[in-house]
Amino acid sequence: MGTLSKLKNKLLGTDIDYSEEFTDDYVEIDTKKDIGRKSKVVVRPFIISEFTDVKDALDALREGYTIALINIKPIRDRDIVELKRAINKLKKTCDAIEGDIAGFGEDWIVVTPSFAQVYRTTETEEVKE
Amino acid sequence: MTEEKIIIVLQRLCQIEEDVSVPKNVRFRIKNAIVALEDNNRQIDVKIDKALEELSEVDNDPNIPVYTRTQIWNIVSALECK
Repeated sequence: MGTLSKLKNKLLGTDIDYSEEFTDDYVEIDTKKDIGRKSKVVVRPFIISEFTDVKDALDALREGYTIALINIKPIRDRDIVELKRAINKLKKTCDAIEGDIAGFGEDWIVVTPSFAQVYRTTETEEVKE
Repeated sequence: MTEEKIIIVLQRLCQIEEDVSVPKNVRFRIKNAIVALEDNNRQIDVKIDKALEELSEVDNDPNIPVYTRTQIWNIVSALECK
């Protein structure tokens, strides 16, 4: 194959051998690809260290397809008053989106949009303001 | 909360947003609250919740004029009233 032909194939991409890329044991997933806003329900963890951290969770919940798992341990250890404010805010937003909110364990709160409900057992607690 | 009340709230917010004596950062938050209330893609309760969040951050600003703070409180009361 001449030099010019090789150069032409390289520029047009016709000389690329794909057989080695698509083997059975390795598939590369593009994690940055946008899967679309409403294609899947998202279960997303949040860590609340201060009152302003709750804003991200609230914005995600208002989108309507995010189930929020919120770790309240840092804010609980820091300031109980801020914790109460944050939970109050979460409850108000939960009411606005007609969702459900419950605590499980000492450090976690789950907030769901309207399409989901938290199953109540003896291990889940009602979230009190 | 009815759409008519939302419109009244929007008019009040627009008046504050156009007031040049109000600091720019406060007007920016007011603008965000207006955008939240005008969003037709969301339910009314969600719009109000988002607007209340923006207005609560306005209330925390120490540079806001006293009369504007009173106006904001009245608007928040109107939005929280069901």
